[in-house]
Amino acid sequence: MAGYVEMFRLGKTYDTKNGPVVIVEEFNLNMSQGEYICLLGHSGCGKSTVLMMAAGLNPITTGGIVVAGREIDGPGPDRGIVFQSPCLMPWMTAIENVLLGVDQVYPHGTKAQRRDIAGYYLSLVGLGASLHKRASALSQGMQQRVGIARAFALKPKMLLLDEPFGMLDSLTRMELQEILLDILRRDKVTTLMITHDVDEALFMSDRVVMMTNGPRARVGAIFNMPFERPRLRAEVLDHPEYYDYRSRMIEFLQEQDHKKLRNDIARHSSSQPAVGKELESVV
Amino acid sequence: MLSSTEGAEMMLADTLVTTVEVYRVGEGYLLNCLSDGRTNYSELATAAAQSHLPLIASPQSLSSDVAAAIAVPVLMGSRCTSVVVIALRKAEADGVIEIWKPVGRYAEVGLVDGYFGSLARFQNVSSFVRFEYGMGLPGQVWKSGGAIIQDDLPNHPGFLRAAGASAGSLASAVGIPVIGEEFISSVVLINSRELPIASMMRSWVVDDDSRILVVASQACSPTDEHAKPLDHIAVEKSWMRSALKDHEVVWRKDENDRVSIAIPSIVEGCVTGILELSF
Amino acid sequence: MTTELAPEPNFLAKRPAPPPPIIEMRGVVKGYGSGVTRTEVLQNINLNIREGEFLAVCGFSGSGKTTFMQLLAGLLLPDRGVILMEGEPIAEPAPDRGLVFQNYSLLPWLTVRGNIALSVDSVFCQWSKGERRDHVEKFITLVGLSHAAHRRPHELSGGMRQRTSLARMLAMKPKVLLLDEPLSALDALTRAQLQDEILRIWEEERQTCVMITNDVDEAILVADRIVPLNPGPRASLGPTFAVDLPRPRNRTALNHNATFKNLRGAITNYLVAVRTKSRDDEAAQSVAPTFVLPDLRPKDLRAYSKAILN
Repeated sequence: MAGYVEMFRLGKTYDTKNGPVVIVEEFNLNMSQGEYICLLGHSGCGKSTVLMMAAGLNPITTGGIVVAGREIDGPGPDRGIVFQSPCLMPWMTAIENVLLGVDQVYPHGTKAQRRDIAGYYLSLVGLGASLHKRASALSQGMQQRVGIARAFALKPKMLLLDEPFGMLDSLTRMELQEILLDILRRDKVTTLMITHDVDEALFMSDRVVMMTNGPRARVGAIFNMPFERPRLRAEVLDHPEYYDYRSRMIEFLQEQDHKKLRNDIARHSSSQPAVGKELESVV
Repeated sequence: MLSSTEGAEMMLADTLVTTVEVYRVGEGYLLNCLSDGRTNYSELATAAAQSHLPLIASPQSLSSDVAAAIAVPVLMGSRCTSVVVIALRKAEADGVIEIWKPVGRYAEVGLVDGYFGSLARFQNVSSFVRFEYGMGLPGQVWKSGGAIIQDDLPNHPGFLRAAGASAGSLASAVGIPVIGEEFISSVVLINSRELPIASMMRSWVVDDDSRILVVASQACSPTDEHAKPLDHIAVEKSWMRSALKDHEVVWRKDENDRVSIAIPSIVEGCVTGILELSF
Repeated sequence: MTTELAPEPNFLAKRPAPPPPIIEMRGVVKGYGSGVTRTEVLQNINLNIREGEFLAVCGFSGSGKTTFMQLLAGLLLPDRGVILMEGEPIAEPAPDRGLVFQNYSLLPWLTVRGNIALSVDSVFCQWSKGERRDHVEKFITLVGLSHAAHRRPHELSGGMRQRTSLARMLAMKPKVLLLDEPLSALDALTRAQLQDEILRIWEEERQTCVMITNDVDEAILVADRIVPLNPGPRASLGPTFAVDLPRPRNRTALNHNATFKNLRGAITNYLVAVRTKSRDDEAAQSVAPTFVLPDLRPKDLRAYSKAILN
């Protein structure tokens, strides 16, 4: 059965002076309409590459991506993107930032209608009282809410979220996860989200796609989440299978870690014998 | 065991508490029922009288309309004078019973037993919480040595778990101290919004010199016409006198078949306060 | 006629006396401004900090966490109530309460060793030069920075700078360590490594330690007790959660521990519920305009080739 979003034998290769480097290879994923999928993996595993190809911001080397029956060819407002940092115009107010996109996508609406759209989505993210605050006066969490409102206001066919809560502290992150799920309950947008936070993936997704470590990253495992919607955090945490899934995912990530470590050792064994040094440089 | 003198009809209709039984404790822990003569919980009451501990009935021992029952002993130093048994109705709106006791080397209480119905999350939170002497309802009951009633729990600054623990459904709470030669435990009853614990709860403090009772805290059901809030007015309640005099729980039924009980708090041989509950 | 209430009984007299708290906060209130513009940041804070315990204060950003820590450090004084350290009111910062911030306040022109030595020399000025030097080296080794002792802050990673701050504070031998979100500026991996490090060092020394954090997992991993700071304005402390997990603790093993899972659920649920309640209270008071979504579809996208990035 064809999916609403199809990623078919997706691949990404960069040409370097040492020859081609395959980042992503044979990445296959079908998403049904309204489905929420998290790509979970360590940084540098190629998950951002997949998302950027879906956004049309990174050329596809092999294979293709079809969204709602049409193969994507470059970026477009049919796919809303939210990055880790919200990229707002700091001198503009919250509503002006949202109107930037709304004015482009709804040129046929009246000015009042466009304001209503922007105001409506800002209210949904809990910024109804801060419409006219400048972006620079908003906290990081509030700025990210504006980013979410802006993405939804354009009524995209697909939402692409690149670690949207990665910069926020864990309690603010939980709050924004709930706001996002609440909006998705009204506007069922097919969503692909990148995260490295296992609890976030569990709470948000219908399916969690685990990627193997790059280079040559591909789908390593897929978990179907058993939690009902609408989701309450307390209920999800209380679910008898929650910690089973959580530990299986953590194990998968740790396995990938060990593989990476072994590869690194193999690569460095001739020149640099110290593994400890490798780790230390991270800290 | 005493025989029933009247039909054991459900007497308390619109409250979370469905039954109260009051026993006077005699020599050799022979219990004498002071309430209507219904003695469904005499074994539980005997165990509480002997152990000097508040005890929660095992679920198997309860009749089908009762969710939970607790026996609270009233102690005068090393002697148990009486026992009150309070049973909660099986209803959609759950009630909570908790027993808090000192734990560890610091002056703090932890949850040792309880009934939480469907409020599993409140139970989970409570099971990890410790209250220091004077903190939270169980800790305040310990410090004051008397019963404390807290209303409007979601906004009550003294009920520390309120905001977090499924606050929306919790309404009011009463904390009852169990004190022997020293503090033994705080018993806490909590009701959720639909059903009040009792139609009137009032905690009185005894003024040492004048033997006058002063209202310390109270909660009344808004629908209850019999119970009018008495804000810090000192009044004498003749029927409660034997709670003061004999250091035991008093049970009475007035001309309107309205049941009330008075539970004394006794510290070092003196009654320091009385918890009055009307149904 | 109303007369005075009966004197309070003293139930603690009959128990074996509990160890006295090292720091006591009694009815502490702190706010800014005055009159109508006054905002209360913390209200009615009561807390006993026990000698030798690791206490985590877990709260949302903007809930007065920093104010709370500055009060303990003596950088701020309470408007009402008292804060006692070993029975004496805290009036000013003192080396017996060492504070580590989220932002490392290292002197950029000094090396790791120089930064630590500066503090050691000022606190232990009565020691001999040799004693002070050995002391500095001991703490450089303790946090695993021997190989980098000659580097200056700009040559260090975030994690190494935070290790330096930690070593500097530990070397002053404070009675109480105050950690104000020391790890929240670090990435997840570094954060985990430093958590393990802090835990290892603490388990060796068992100094009283108060740490502010926004991460429930971090709090459970390190702490003996966790106190939630309910969201402000007018933030107050929630009930104390006891972390009854054996030490030494290991993060991987904890994932399979039933007590850990239940406690994690309990604290998370508590925090989510207080936050929801404070948002609801806020919403009930706000007069934000309401918007009705017009029935409008986006214009045909094919006309567009430019991305609209968020």
